Order: sequence, then C-alpha cells, then structure tokens
Amino acid sequence: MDGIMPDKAREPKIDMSAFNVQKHRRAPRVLGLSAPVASRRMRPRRSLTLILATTWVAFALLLAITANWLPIRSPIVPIGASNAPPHWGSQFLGLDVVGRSMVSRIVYGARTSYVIAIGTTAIALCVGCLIGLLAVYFRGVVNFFADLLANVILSIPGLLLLITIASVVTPSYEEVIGAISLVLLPGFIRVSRSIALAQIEGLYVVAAHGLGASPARIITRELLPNTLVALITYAGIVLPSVMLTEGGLSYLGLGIPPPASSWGEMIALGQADLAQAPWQAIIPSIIFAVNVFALFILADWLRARLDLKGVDVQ
Amino acid sequence: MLRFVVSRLGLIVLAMLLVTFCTTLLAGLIPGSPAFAIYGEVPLSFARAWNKSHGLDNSIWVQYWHWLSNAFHGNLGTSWASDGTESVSFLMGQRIPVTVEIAVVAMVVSLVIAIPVALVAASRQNGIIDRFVTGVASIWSASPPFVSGVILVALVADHWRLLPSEGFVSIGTSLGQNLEGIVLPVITLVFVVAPFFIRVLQGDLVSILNEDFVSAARSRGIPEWYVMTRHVLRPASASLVTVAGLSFGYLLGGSIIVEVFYGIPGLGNLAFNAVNNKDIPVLQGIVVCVSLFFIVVNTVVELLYRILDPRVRIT
Repeated sequence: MDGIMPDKAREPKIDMSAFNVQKHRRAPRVLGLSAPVASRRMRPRRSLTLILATTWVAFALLLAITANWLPIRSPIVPIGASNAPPHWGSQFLGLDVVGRSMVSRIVYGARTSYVIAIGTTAIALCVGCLIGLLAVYFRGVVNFFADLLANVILSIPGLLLLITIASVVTPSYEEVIGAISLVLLPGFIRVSRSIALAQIEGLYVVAAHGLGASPARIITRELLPNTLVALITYAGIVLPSVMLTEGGLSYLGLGIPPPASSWGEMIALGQADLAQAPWQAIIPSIIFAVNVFALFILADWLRARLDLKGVDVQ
Repeated sequence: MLRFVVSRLGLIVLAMLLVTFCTTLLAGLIPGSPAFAIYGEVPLSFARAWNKSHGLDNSIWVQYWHWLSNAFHGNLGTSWASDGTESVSFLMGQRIPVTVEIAVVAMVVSLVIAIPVALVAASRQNGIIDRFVTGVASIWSASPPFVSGVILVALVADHWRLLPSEGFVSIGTSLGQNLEGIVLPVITLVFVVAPFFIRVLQGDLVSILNEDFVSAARSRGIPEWYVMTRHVLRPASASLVTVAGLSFGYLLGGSIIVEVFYGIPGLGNLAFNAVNNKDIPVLQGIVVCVSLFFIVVNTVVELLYRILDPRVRIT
C-alpha cells in the first residue's frame, strides 16, 4: 500500500484559484434575497459569529425561562434612588427613572420579547399554513379569498395596521400576539402556497387521490410534510422581525402594558433622560440590537443548512 | 398584460373596499362610547347624544355608506378630538409635506450610498470591503429606528452637541433650521433602508457577475468600470426598483417611530396621536390614504418589473 500511494509531500501543488474554484464559502448573509451559490453538499461554515450568536440566544432563552428563580430583584418594585448610575453589586447596569433594577427589567424584557416572538410566529405559521394548503387543494373560491385576505393585510403598512388595532383594543399578551400574527399571515400563506403548488401535481399526490384518500389526508399527510421545511425556515427568518415589531409597539407605548417590562418600553422611558442618564436607553438598545442580530444569524444559518432557494423572503 | 392590469385593478378596488369597511368598524369596536375616551368622565346621556350626533347609532352599513359617499366627494370627515372644528383632510394636508420631504431625502441618500457601496463590494467578492459591508449591513438591519436613534442622539446631539435632537422647523420658516432638524431623522431612516438596498443589489450583482455576457464583455477588453455600470448594474437594477418602491411606501406610511422619536409633526405622528386620542376619523383617513398609496405603488412597481424583465411575464 505504502509503495502505491504517493507521498503527500510529493503531490504536485495545484493552484486552485486558477480554476475559479471558490475555496471559502461566503460569510453567512443575513436575509440575503438571493442566496449565495451553494451546492447541496456544502455545509455552511460554522463561523465564530454563528457560535457567538447561538451562545447569545441560548443564554437569553435560559434567562427568559428562569427569570422567576434567578437571584435578581423584582422588575416592578423600586429598590433605590431614581436614575442611580450603574455600579457593581445589586445596581449593576443602574436603576431606571422609577428606581427599578435595570438588570431585572432587561431579564424580564427578554421573557416578553421571546414569548411574543415565539407565540406569534407559531400562530402565524399554523394559520397561514392551513389557509395556504386549503387554497392550493380547493383552488377556486378558497384560493380567491386567501389571496384577498393576504392582499388586504398587505395593503396597510404593518406598523400602521398594528397601531390601528391598538386604538380599539387594550393590549395584553393575547392581543399583541394576535395582532402581530395577523400582519405575518400573508407571508406564511404565500410561502406555503407556492411550495404546495409545486407538490400538488406530484405523482404521490395523484396516487393518493387515486387510492381514494380524503382531502384531509392528502393535505396533512402529503402536502404538509413537504411544505413544513420551507415554513420552518421562513419562521426562522420572521422571528427576529417579530421582535423588531414588538419592540416598536412597546416603544410607542402600545405593546404589553406596564408594569410588565419590555425592551422597547425601556428604551422609550430612557429616551426622556437621555442627556442625564444615557445608560438607561443605551443598554437596552444594544441588547435589543444584539439579540435581533444573533437571531438573524441563526435564521440565515438555518436557511443555508436546509438549502432553500425557492422561499421568497419577502 | 392587459389581463394582468385589469385583474390587478379589480383586486385593488376590492381590497380598498374591505380596508375602508374595516376602518369604519373601528368606531364601533371601542368599548362604551368614544366620548369617554375624548372627554373623560361624562354622563351617560351626554355619551348617547354624542354617539347620535356622530351617526354612531346607525347600523354599520349606513355608517359605511355615509363615509364612502363623503369620501368620494373628498370629505374624509372631521376630527373628533378637535370637537369637529378641523377636517381630516386639512389635518392630513398639513402633515403630508413634512413626511414626504423626509421620505424623499432619506430615499435619495439611501440610493446614493447603496449603489456605489454594493458595486464596490460585489466587484471584489470576499474581499475586505465585501466582508466589511456585509457585516455592517447586517448589524444595521438588526437595529430598529428607535435603537439607532438612541445611539445617534446620545452621541451626536447630547455628547458632541452638533445637532438638535428635536424641534422641527418647517421648511417655510427657515430652510437652514429645517435641514438641521431633519439630518438625524434622515440618518435614522437611512440606517433602516440602506442596508436592505445594499443586500438586495449586492446579491443581484454577484449573480449577474457570474453570467457569460460579463465574461464576454471583459474578454473583449471593455474597461472594468464600464462593464460594472453598463453590463452589470443595469440588469441588476430591476429588483432594486421593486425594493425601492416598497421602501418608499414604508417611508411614507411606516415612519411612525422615527417621527414620534424626533417629535416631527408628520403623518406618522398624527396617526400616533389619533390612536392615543381614539380619534377614529383621523386614523381612518390616514389608513385609507396610506394604503391606497401603498397599493398603487406596489402595483406600479410590479408592472414596471414586468416591463423591465420580460422573463417574469411568463410565470
């Protein structure tokens, strides 16, 4: 064996760059509309950014889940002087204008953010997928109404629609989740419909028809499993944008009502004292941006991993 | 093509009818009477009389017909909060120029930044500039306007004291002060829109750079800058038109946060105040106008796209 196999050192070195071969994959792109050219076998590189992003999200999720049991002060009750600056100890990150601990408010804000983002995306995914699949299967009138629903929702800019809804309902978790998932619905309808449209002509669907399968069975057993991958990828892309939207609503004072803490509301409160106590707005701002950024990175990795080219991000 | 236009127009009309109907429903959805929201604690008889005088005791169909026929005559009703002294169209007419000014400036600045940056980044794929631009664009796209606004105001207005952080002066009063006042809002909006443009354009440029006609042009010895601008940028601009159209709709209708953040008396701020005051007619007028504009822009963009890129017409 040793004699036949050429020694590694004697192997002629070929300059691969001359053959226009991409040696490195592109750095992961966030939400890029046209995915970088990637073959199915190429795995996205596990970059340092991806590791950091995963760590961040895991940490934030852990804090959000265990907020009740953490050794932190209550996010509602004032514990010291108003606008106390950050220093080591219980007032790490400082106190807000009412004297509440910023650490606790940020941790509980993470909970608000993640609960709303995950809840909204899950509801929009289920309802949107259902409508999309029904539209593909039954076509005609159902398809028309699905299209009309999507168009009506899309005809109003998202935030304007949300504040309009907020003008007549008193916001709570349920209302905010319901309202934002309404805004997300068209995207999920379109993705599930475009994927399912490609499947409905497939031989296995025709075969299921021929075997006398009921519409419910064809939708849940034949169409649904094949659209699910695309939908989950799309959900991954949508999740951080839900956080952006929720933050915007809370910033405007139309999100989860106080005393529950939300990052957007913290930024709005801190903005009033930006000149005197800048940390109050800047700390939640940075945490908010880093969190959304980390989720974008994860979503992009997910999309590259599942290699979805057909899903239109918009 | 004609079929497409006609079916699209039908859909627009239907969607607008539904949108306007839903906004009419809003008034009835407010618990109790809107009078409580506007005047605070008032006797029940007053609220009843107020409802009657504003036509809220009629059935929803009558209310809708009333609103629709008025709207076709250009009358969008009067603001509840002002006790019926200010018409909705007057209030909106006052605010629209402000929003349009900021939107147009932000749009132009974004395009002026995005096109060269995307060209440079795409021409040297995986180079330092490309990585830097991709990184910065993704960080920007993760910061909503109120986050980048906080950082901007804290640095530029409070720390360095270069520009005012609020206080909008209309363009008629003083051009200099007006421009000074819109610098930060415009930068904040550019932070939202420009990364989006850069990503879309860069993605398109990269895929077009791999096409045969680019290699053909290069092998004929055409200078690189000419290849980039004529052969590559031109086909890539089709999707930029789409994105720019969508973003312009966003800037006009969705810049609520930026306007509230900087206290700019624009359309978004008017909508925000209307929500807080339960001033449904004003909100209704804004939603209807913005969504009409939004739909029309989207449709025009879609048409334009079909004209620019004949391949789309087949599907």
